[in-house]
Amino acid sequence: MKKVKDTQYAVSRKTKESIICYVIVGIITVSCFLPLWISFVASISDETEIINKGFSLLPRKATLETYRFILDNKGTMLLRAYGVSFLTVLLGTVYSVTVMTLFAYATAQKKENFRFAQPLSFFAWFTMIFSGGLLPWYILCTKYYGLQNNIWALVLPYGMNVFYMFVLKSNFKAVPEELIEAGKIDGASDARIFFTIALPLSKVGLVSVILFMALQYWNDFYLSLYLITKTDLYTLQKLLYNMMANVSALLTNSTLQSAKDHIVLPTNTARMAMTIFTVLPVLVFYPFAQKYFVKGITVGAVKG
Amino acid sequence: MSRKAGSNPAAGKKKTGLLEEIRRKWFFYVIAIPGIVCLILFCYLPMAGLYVVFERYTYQGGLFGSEFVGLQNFKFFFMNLNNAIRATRNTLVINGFSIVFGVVVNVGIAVMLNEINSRRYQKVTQTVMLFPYFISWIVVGMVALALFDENAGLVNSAIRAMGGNGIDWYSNPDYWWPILIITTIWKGAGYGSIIYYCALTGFDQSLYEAAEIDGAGRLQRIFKITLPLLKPTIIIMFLLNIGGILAGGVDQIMGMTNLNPLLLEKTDTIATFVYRSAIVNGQFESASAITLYQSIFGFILVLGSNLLVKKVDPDYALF
Repeated sequence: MKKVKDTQYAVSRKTKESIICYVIVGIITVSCFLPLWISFVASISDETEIINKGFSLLPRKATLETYRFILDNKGTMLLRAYGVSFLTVLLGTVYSVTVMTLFAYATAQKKENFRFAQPLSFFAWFTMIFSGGLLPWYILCTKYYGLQNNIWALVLPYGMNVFYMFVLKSNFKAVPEELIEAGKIDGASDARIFFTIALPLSKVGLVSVILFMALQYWNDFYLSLYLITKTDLYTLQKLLYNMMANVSALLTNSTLQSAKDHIVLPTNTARMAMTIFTVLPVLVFYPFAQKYFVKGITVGAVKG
Repeated sequence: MSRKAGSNPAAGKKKTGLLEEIRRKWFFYVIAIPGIVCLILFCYLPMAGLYVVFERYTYQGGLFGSEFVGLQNFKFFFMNLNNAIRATRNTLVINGFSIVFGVVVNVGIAVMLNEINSRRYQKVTQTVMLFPYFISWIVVGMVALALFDENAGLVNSAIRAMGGNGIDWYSNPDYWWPILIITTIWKGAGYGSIIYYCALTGFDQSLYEAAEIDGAGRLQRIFKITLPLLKPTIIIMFLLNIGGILAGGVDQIMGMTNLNPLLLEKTDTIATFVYRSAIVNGQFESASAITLYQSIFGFILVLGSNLLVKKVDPDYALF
């Protein structure tokens, strides 16, 4: 009887004190999506309402006018930017994950199996603590590697993310030794062991690194900032950034000469609509990928 | 023991030379090549390229063919000393406060999440809090516009509704340290708290049960058990972050302020300073010295912080 009483007491204390936790965590959570919600609301609001009354939590005079305006006037530009961004993500993820996975597997070997495993690990690790900085990197990319104003400029420089490479390495290290040995006894080559044993067993780590890299390429702004000046090769992020700077120039400069047709240019709402266009793919794919992110973060934290 | 016999011949063959070894182990040599090439092209050659800070760089001369001028570029550094000091100060302040308060916020969130009994509530809040980590600074900057825009922004609307005057967020630099620090913490809170939360859930539950039997309250348990157990993780994360205090990119400042000249007094960091002087204005001389100094001090900081981390827990150290 006493035990029952104890737990009841504990439960009542729990609920009483954890209410504060529920509330604070709740507030922080709301603060994490509210700003994005406000942008979304603005994108479906009427421009004059925003100019007169400001941004709001709920749409005023909800309308899809802004989206129609963007698609009508800037549809090709937007589509192009989507194309460049998706192509970058696709090429970049395949390329960088391949480079990192192969390198990580080589460094994950035991010394007697591959004598340069340790030195190669160091070779990669050293770049985490010392960097030449932006200046030489920029000169090399633009003058010597020809990485300027082409799609490769948006892809190649991120081939090796040493942090994720080490995540992959610790994944390979976790593959049971017995399985590898068994494969060797059966006469499998190193390549065969890699493709049929090590790789399938490291699937979870691999998937989380793939997702992280895909997001890095999607969100990347550096490469298009430094290495791209041609508007044809603007990614969504770069397009969005340019809209922040000179939204009216981007909007008026359309074939419609819209300044004359429209009384107000949807500058505020257009910016927010573009923001929504930019995060939409992340928003759609995030719920499915979320659990892999959590796994990737925890592995990376321990073995980074 | 047959395993041992299997590895012995390999050890013996080591003496027969590298070529034989490469022939036998070709797979490992081949798969390491793309990574090595990437590291050389984008990490090691830029390190060697730091030589440029001792040159009067011209496009024709290139990285290693321009006129060698020794320490002359450092004259520009001292001529521009105010700008360099300003950039360093802003970098240190923004990163430093972000790190310190970031640790507090992240640990706080992790501890509070742990006190929540509903699994579903935990999962939903954690998922939502992680989301800002995955959006770009450009998007954050746009979203911030909806909050801070001087005329239409929600914050000013609220201030006016309460009878105050709107604040000139985008022309007064004094607001920008807090804004940049808070947004940095906000963006990283979900990510940072996961690390602590995972450490928390691994703690021995019997400690908590014992404390409960002894009549320890919830707060007591947090301060007497959870936080002391979390201390090594906190110290490690803190030190690892301190190692990167001079680092940082241009995307937060560019995304949020668009390099607004009115705000540069408080928002010009080392990264934006180098970007503005070298890439926008083409003045490689004035960016040279600060590049070198960022590399060297960054190196010392990472090295130092890692030596300390290693003392706390070798598992977390980079080396």
